[in-house]
Amino acid sequence: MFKMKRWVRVILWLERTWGTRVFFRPCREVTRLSSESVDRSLSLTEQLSVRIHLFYCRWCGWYLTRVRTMHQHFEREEMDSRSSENLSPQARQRILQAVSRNDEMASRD
Amino acid sequence: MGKVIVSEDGGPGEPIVPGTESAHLGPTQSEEEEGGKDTLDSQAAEWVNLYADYLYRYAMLRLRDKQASEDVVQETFLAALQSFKNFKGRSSVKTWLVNILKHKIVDHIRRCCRERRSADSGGVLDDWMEDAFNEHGHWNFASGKHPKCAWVDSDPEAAYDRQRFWTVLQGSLAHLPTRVAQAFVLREIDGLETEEICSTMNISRNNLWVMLHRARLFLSHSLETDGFSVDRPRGQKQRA
Repeated sequence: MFKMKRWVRVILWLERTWGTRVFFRPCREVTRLSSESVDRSLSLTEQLSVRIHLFYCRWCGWYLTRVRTMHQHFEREEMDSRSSENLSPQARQRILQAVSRNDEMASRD
Repeated sequence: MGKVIVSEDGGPGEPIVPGTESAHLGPTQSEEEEGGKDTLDSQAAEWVNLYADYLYRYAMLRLRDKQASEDVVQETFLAALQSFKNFKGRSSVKTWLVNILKHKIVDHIRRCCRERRSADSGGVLDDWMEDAFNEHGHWNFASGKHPKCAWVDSDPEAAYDRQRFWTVLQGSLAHLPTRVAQAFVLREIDGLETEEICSTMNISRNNLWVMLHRARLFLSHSLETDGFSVDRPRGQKQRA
């Protein structure tokens, strides 16, 4: 377990006794928020709580960059799916038949 | 200029751009129709040979169901034949087919989600998430599911293997529950907006965000364990 600074502990204790987590959210919440930051714009308090959390938790900082990196990566790169399996010959034959049948029907019309 | 060249060279194997026939006085109406059908027929077969595998893999990644993917690919080719007149040749045939396929896939997902309304966000993922965080909501370092290093983006030195990345990603996606994987692929790889996915999959926005959050957490962990090489330990980054 990582060691927290004393002032962090004090405010954390205050928030715990108060019963609401506004500024000091646990990692579980912060990972959720950093994931949502890609999909929507966070509210001011949410942004602030993430900022505060990143002061003392590097793992969540890494996670946030990861989520953003992944998002940018997918925006930039085109999918390369050559490794997965191909269409089976039977299915290909069936599609060819369907296509030619469609042509016949169109010519009949 | 280009039009003239195409219409002059237009042999049986050449693609015929629609609209060129009307540009100059060619054969009679019936002859033209017959020729058009012949080329259309041979072209459809050619398309199937060229692009069926790609389209199938594309659909398979999104639907994860052999039968459904085959059906969707077949529907795509039929739709392509019917709307061939509208194809202006502005984009490549592959892009055009993929665009049709995207719509078919979204339609299919919409149909499936309407039929079974159970919003299963995935029992497997729930179990997996269980011990990622401890009772205080902080990373559970004993489980080893916390991020272990920073990822370096757009680093020219990290010339990672693109194909390997996609292989690893598809392997990890296969572990996710179908609907979570679908939501992730639609959002991240297809880049759809939240609203579109919600209306397609018939779920609320919060539900979608939770699903995406779980998927990202899981994928981040599994990409790390599989050694996806965009990530590097922090020390190496500082030294470089």
